[in-house]
Amino acid sequence: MALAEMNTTLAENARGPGAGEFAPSRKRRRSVFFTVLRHSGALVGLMVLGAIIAMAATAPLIRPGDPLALAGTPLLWPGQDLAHPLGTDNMGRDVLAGIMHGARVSLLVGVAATALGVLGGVSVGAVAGYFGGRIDNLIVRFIEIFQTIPGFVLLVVLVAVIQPSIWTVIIGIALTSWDTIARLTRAEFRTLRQQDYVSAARSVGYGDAHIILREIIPNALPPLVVTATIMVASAILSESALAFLGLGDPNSVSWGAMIGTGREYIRTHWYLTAIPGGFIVATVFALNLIGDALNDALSPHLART
Amino acid sequence: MSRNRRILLSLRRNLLQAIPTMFVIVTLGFFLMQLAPGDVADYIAAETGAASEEGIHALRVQFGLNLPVLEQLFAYYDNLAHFSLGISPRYGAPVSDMIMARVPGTLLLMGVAIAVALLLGFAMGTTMALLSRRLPDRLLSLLSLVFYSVPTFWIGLMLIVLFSVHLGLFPSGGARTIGGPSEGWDWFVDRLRYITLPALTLGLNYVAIYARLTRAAVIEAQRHDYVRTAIAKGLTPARVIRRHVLRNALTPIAALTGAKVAGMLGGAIVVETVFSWPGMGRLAYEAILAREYPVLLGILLVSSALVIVANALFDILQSLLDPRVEVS
Repeated sequence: MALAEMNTTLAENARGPGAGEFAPSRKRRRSVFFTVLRHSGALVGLMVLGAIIAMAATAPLIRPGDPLALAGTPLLWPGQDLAHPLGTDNMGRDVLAGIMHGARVSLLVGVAATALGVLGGVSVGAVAGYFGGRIDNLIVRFIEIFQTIPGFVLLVVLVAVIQPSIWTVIIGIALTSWDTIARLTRAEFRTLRQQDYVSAARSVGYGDAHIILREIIPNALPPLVVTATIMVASAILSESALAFLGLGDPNSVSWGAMIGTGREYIRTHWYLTAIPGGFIVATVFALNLIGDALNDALSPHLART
Repeated sequence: MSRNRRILLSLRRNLLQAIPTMFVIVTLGFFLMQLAPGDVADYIAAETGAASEEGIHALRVQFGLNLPVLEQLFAYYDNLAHFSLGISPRYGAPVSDMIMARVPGTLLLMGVAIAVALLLGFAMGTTMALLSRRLPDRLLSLLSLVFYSVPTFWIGLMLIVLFSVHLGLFPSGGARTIGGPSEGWDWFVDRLRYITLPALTLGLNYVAIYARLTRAAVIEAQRHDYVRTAIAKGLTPARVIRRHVLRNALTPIAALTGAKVAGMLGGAIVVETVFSWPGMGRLAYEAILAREYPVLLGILLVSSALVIVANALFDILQSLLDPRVEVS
C-alpha cells in the first residue's frame, strides 16, 4: 500500500464512529434542521426575517427611485393618503420607501460586519487556541485590552474620525465585535485540540493548516453559528444607533437615521419615530429568536432547562 | 487568607494589568486621531473663517503639530502623565475639565440603571423559574427577548411619547428643574422624576440579561439540598428565595455586571443624547456635532479607565461575596 493511500485510509478511520464528534452525519444535520423548525419561536423568527429580506429585495421594484427624494405632501399620517401607506416625513419623503430601502442597509451592514468580524475573530482565536504558549498569552492580553475599551464608544470615535460611510460603519462594527468570537474560538480550540481525532490526524502527518481548517473548525461550528446570529442582531442595533447619532452614511437611507429625523417631530408626529423603530425591533427580535433556537438545537447540553 | 489581604492582592493584580492596558489604548487612540482629515489648526481656522496661511502655521507651531509624529506622541504621553487631555479648540477649556464635569452624571445614571435592572430582573427571573415551562414563563421569556432586541434610543423616545407627551408624568429631558428645589425631600423627588425614564431606558437590556440569569440560578438552586432543608424547616417561599437562592445567584450577577460596564458606557451615549442628560455621553454627541476630536479621544480614554476601575471594584465585590473565588 502506498504511503499516500494509507494516510487517507487512516484519516477516513479517524472520521468514523467512535472517533469523537467529527463530521456530523447527514442524519444528525437533518435533525438539527427539524429541531429548529419545531421550535415555534424559530418559525416566527424565520418568517419575520424572511419578510424583511423580501422587503429589501423588492425595494427597487415597489418603491423605485431615490428614497431620499421628495415624494409628496410633507407630514402625512399613515393611511391618510393611499399613495403613501406609511405616511411621509417633514421633507415629504415616503416613509415606506425609506423602510424598504433601509432594510437593505440594515441587512447589508449586519451581515457584512458579522462576516468580517467572524473572519477576524476566528483566525485570531484559532491561532491562540491551537498553538497556545507565548502567542496565546499575547493574543489573550490583546483581547482583554479590547474588552476594556467600551466598544460603542470606540465605534463612535472611529466612525466620527474616519468620516461616516457604509464601509467605515461596517469595518468599525467588525473591529469592535471580533473579540467575542475570538474568545469563543480560542476556548473551543483549546478543548478540541486535545481530542483523539486531532491526535490521529496529526499522527498521519497532516499539517497545522489542515487540522485547523478541516478537523477542528467543523467541530467548533455550532457555538460559532449561534454567536454569529446574535452578532448580526447586535450589528444592526449598532448601525441604527450610529445613524441615529448622525454617524450613518449620509447618502443612504437608514432606519436609525429616520428615527433621528423623526425625533424632531416627536411631540406631533410620533409615527415617524415609531415605524422605523418597530422594524428594527422586529428584525433584531427575529434574529435573536433564531439564535436561541439554534442554541437549543445545536448544543443540547446547554439547552435551557 | 484574610479579607484585607485578598482585597489587596486583587487590587495589585488589577493595577499591574491596568498599566499596559492603558498604554496600548492611549497609543491606539493617538494614532486613530492621526487618521482624522485636517488637524486642530484647520478647525480653528475654519471656525474663525478668516485665517491666512501664516496664521494656520502659527497655530500648528503653537499646538506642536509641525513636529514629527513620534515627538507628538511623546508630547501626548507627557501631557497624559500630567492628567492633561489637551485643550478643546472650540471652547478653549481643558478637555479633562470638560469630561470630569460630566463623569458624575453618567455614573449616577448607570448606577440607578443597574439598580432598576436588578430589581426588575430578579422579579422576572424568579417568576419565570417558579412557573418554569408554564405559560407565564414562556410569555416572560419572550418579553425579556423583546427587551433585549429593542434599540435603547428608540425605547427612550417611545417612553417620552407615552409618559411625557401624552401622560405628562415625567419630564422628557434634563436632570433637574431649573430653579427648582435645591435640598431636602422635594429635591430628591425632583431628581427622581428626571432620572426615572433615562435609567429605565438604559437598564432595559440588562433586565433581560438579569432575568435569564436569575431564572437559571433559581432553577439550579431548587435541586440543592440546602434549599430542600430550608423549605423543610418551614421557611416561607419568599424567604427561601431571598435568603438562600438569590444570595447564591449574586456571584455570577456581580461578575456579569462587571463585564457589562463597558457596554453600558456605550449605551449611555445614546440614552443621554435622547434625554439631554448632562453626562459624558451627551458630551460625546456634542463633540461629534462640533467635530471636537480631542474631546472624543478624551472620552474614549476616560471611559476605558472607568471600565478598568469598575472591573477592579467588581473583582473585589466578587471575592467578598464568595471567598472561594480565586485571587491570584
